[in-house]
Amino acid sequence: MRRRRESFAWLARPNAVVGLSLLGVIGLLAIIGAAATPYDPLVLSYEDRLEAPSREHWLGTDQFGRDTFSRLAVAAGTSLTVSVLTVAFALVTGTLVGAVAGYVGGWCDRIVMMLVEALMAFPGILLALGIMAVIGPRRYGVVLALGLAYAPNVVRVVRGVVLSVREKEFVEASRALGNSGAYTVLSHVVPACISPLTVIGTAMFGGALLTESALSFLGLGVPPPAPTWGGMLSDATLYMSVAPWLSVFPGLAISATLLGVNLFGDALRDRLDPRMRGL
Amino acid sequence: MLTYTFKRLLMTVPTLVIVAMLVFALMRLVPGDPAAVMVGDLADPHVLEEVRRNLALDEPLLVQFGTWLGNLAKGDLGHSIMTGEPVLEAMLRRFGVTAQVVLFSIVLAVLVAIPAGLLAAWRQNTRLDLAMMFAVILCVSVPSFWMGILLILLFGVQLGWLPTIGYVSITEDFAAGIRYLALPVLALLLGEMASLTRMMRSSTLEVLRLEYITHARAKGLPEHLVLLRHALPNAFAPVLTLLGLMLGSLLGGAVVIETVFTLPGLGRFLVDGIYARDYPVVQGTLLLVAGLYVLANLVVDVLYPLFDPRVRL
Amino acid sequence: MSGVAAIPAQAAATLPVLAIDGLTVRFGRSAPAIERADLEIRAGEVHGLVGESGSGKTMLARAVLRLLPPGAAVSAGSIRFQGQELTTLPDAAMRKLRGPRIGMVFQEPMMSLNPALRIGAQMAEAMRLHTTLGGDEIRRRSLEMLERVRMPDPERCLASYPHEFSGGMRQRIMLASVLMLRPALLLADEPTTALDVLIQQEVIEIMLEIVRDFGTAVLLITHDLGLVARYAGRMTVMRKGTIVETGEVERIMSAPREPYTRSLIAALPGRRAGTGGTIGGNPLVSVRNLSVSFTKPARLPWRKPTRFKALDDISFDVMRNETLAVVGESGSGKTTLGRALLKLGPAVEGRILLDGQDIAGVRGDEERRMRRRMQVVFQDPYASLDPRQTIGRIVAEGLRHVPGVGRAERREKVAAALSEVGIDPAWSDRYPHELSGGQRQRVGIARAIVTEPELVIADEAVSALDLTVQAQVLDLLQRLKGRIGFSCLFITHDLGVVEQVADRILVLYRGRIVEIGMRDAVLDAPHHPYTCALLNAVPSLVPTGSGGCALRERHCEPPPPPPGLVEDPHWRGDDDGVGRTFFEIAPGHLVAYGSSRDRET
Repeated sequence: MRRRRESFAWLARPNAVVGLSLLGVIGLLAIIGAAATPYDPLVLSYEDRLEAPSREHWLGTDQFGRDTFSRLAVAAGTSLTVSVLTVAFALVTGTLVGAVAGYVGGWCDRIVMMLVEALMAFPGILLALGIMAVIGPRRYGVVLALGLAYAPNVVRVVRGVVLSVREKEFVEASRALGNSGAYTVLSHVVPACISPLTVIGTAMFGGALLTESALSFLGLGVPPPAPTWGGMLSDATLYMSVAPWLSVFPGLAISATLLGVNLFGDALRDRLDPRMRGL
Repeated sequence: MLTYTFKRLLMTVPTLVIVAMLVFALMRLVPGDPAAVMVGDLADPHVLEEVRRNLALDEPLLVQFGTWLGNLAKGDLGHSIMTGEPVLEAMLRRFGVTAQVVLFSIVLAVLVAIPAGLLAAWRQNTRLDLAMMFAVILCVSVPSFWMGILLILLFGVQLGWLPTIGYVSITEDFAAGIRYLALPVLALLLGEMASLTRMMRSSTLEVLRLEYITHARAKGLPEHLVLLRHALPNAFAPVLTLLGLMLGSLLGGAVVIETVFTLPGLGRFLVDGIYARDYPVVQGTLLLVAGLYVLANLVVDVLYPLFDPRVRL
Repeated sequence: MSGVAAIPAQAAATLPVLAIDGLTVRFGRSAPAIERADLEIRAGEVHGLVGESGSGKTMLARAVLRLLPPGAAVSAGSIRFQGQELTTLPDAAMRKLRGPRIGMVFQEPMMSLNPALRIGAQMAEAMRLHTTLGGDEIRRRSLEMLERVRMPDPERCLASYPHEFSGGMRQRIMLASVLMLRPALLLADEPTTALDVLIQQEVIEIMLEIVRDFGTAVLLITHDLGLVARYAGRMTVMRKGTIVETGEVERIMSAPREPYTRSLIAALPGRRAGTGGTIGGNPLVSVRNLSVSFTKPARLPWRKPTRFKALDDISFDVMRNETLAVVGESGSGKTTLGRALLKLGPAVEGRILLDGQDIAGVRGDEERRMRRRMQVVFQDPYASLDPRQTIGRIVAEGLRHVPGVGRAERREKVAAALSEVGIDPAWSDRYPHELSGGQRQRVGIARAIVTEPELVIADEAVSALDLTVQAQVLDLLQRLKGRIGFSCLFITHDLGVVEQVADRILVLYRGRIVEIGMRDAVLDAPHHPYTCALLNAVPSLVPTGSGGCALRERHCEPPPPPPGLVEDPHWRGDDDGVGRTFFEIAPGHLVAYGSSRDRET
């Protein structure tokens, strides 16, 4: 019991508390977006165009008279889903490829690493843009594009862990006990990957969210009419002088999420790092 | 040292080939006849036939790739569907704008972040350090395009101090050029500067724990010499690697920032190309940016032994 | 600028160089790291400061230079250097003392020189700061100092980076750069601990030679009682932040007053009574013509990769129930040997027979059965236990392949193995990081013995442990060996430990056997020049009555080769010249020689 309590103590640190609270608020927003928004985010209402924040429309309305708060809430769900799916995709493919490359070694490893190196030669957003250019704006196309852009990072990390753990004395001791390669990987190498994967998973979540917003801002992410934070910002730039609030709230939502992820990620890394050094 | 440089150079060759292969494959994945994709659906059938021959489309895929690589080596990246001009020329014209934005950002970021990170590490856990780290985490959490919008709102719309749209080359009119560059550079810079500061801080902290720092102090060196002569070069080495990687995110960020500030740069060119399904442009810009990025990391790696002579390949 | 200059010459001569009085160092408000410590170092003396890890000996030295780790501060007491109070000295004045008056040498030669600066720049730095000498003069003196520490090619050394040198070389460079300023006091923190035995002796003797010339007093911080016995005049023993005992080395060694000092001396490894006798019968393991090579990839892809022979034509037997000690320095191939027996390393040439069966061809279940008969205990108790598994799971791992062991029985066996090594079985759900180094090593031993092996390979199994813990673990191994009855291949660089555990000794030098024989024969009548050099390098402490010990210097001179043979060519470094042969000096005592002169000509 004593140990259990210790292992969750880091959640009480200010970084973790603020980060989790911010993420909680955004999560709540997404739940509102999924369950019940004050207004329909897609219905146009020309008499309510470009209204400033008021009691009826807390965060004002856009150029088509759509309620900003409702759109923000629905967009939260979209962004979070896309980011989570991206991270999941990158983690699963990256771990599989990285583990195989690291464990098998030799030519397989060399070819995989050359491919990874080449994929990493494209700045993440550019690779995603290139893929989006081919498949066109699609909700799950974004996941695929971002996932492919982030997977090489995972491959590198997992491969690195596998290579370093493979040389550890405790792995040799396990082999000396007559254990098979598969058993050694499952019982010693895979657990060693969990800490670093948690850390880069968190960082990737922030990165995916940011890149998804940028893609949507460019009109090449999740296609309209589905509201996205990036898309809302992009629309807002046309009305900066008449309706500046439109440019503020979606950006604030993105930044709050990123801040939450970064703070939480920092706390997580502080917690996991001492063990990671033992890798 | 020479062997190292040479070997590092050799290592980039397969990377560049695979980069080219990826771009080639990507463009072949576009649905439809590759020739039509490259010249646009409305082109003259004669032109279409000409392109088909030029791309060796009737040959096996490997030959097609070879032909394509050959054209690439000659600098022939095809013609833009939008404007009809050669892609390479069009890119090079726009490259100057992007280069200015990115170079100004990277230089300013380094000038601020290196001393800031060193200072924060030296004063670890003081109020100064905590304040700086708070500022850092705020800055990395603000996307550059929103920062750009906020800057436009503040300096352009509210205060009217700086132009928010358009571009004047600094080679034509330096002062005006700087005025046009100021906001985009600032927007692009803050996040990268912040993460660079954080990296410099953690790298310095790592170095300050080492015995040769204690040894330097045990020789009687004053703190500023300990920091500048002994900690700085060693702490900078890992940051140098990050600088190479940062160039990638700056180039990526430039794509979005150029759209926000309507700068006629490479990023804008790419985005317009995607809108217009102008695939020769998309292909060319992707290749150029990836090539630049690989090159920059090559330079970084070749410079690396200057800061850490232990490095071996 | 009062202090030093104001003291009259006669007074300065009698004044201690360093007088520490009631020194207390704390981290914040927690319990003191050093409590009321007194220490006096006289001009020109070599003062040994002995203690185990965590005793505060390094902290004490750093407190003198005010280079304490962040968070630690002197909270009481005084430190006077040549009569001048240091605890109240302003920072700027303190910096003037660091270097020219008080020098410091660190343990890790790999970490104490700045990797990014050339040696010349690092040596000149302090000179430029503390003297008014010009660049040429500084350079001249740097060269002179490098020559004094016997660096080959000092000119080139100045222009090189630290990573181009081995540990021993770097430690000499370090000494040169610190002693160049001719400090009155040198704080030497484990200056030779990280080095190989022969180099250790060389470096410390160079250091003491220069120090004697310059009249520098030395505080020699070490965990090695032998070093203190051989080189120090007076000594101080520290434990958990307090001074236990201080006085003349001879007095403390021969008649320690404090129980802790006595327990330290009692923990010194020493020769057991009885030689283990002659061991006959069939060997458990036979190694025949074993060679192991590593390939280092070429630096350019079209060049040929270089091959390096870690072991070259090794043959020996391990008898049942015996402990065969494999002695060698780093690079001797001793670890490769252990790994080859366990089938962990790269492919081998030659044969390894377990009970007459070649282990190379064995596969599948048979291989598992075979592996269960041979177990290993590694050096680093931190790296050899998976940090993510409980110690119960770690120990149980060895039982996975034992047929017919059920879950309950497995738990029972784990508990038995843990209590056998002195660990409470109730701890089996703890993680390795919750254990001390000694406890972790016990867990490592439990993992090895749980399968009741016939051969245990102990690869530097006690090298990372403190003296008292080391003694306990050695005792434990001895006891287990008696009870379970396994043979032990004990790989180590420490001759003291060898003396304690070995029945037979095998000496490895650069991948080849140079001498093998019964313990007493090899230690008391060594024939190979390398064995002699090793024995001469290590000061040996032998227990006297009354809980003390005395320094026994060995002046070993290898006897001339038997007629028709010449000195081992491998030792002289020419492996291509004459043939190499083993000569049986006495029954079971084999020594490597070059074969007869006829073949040389």
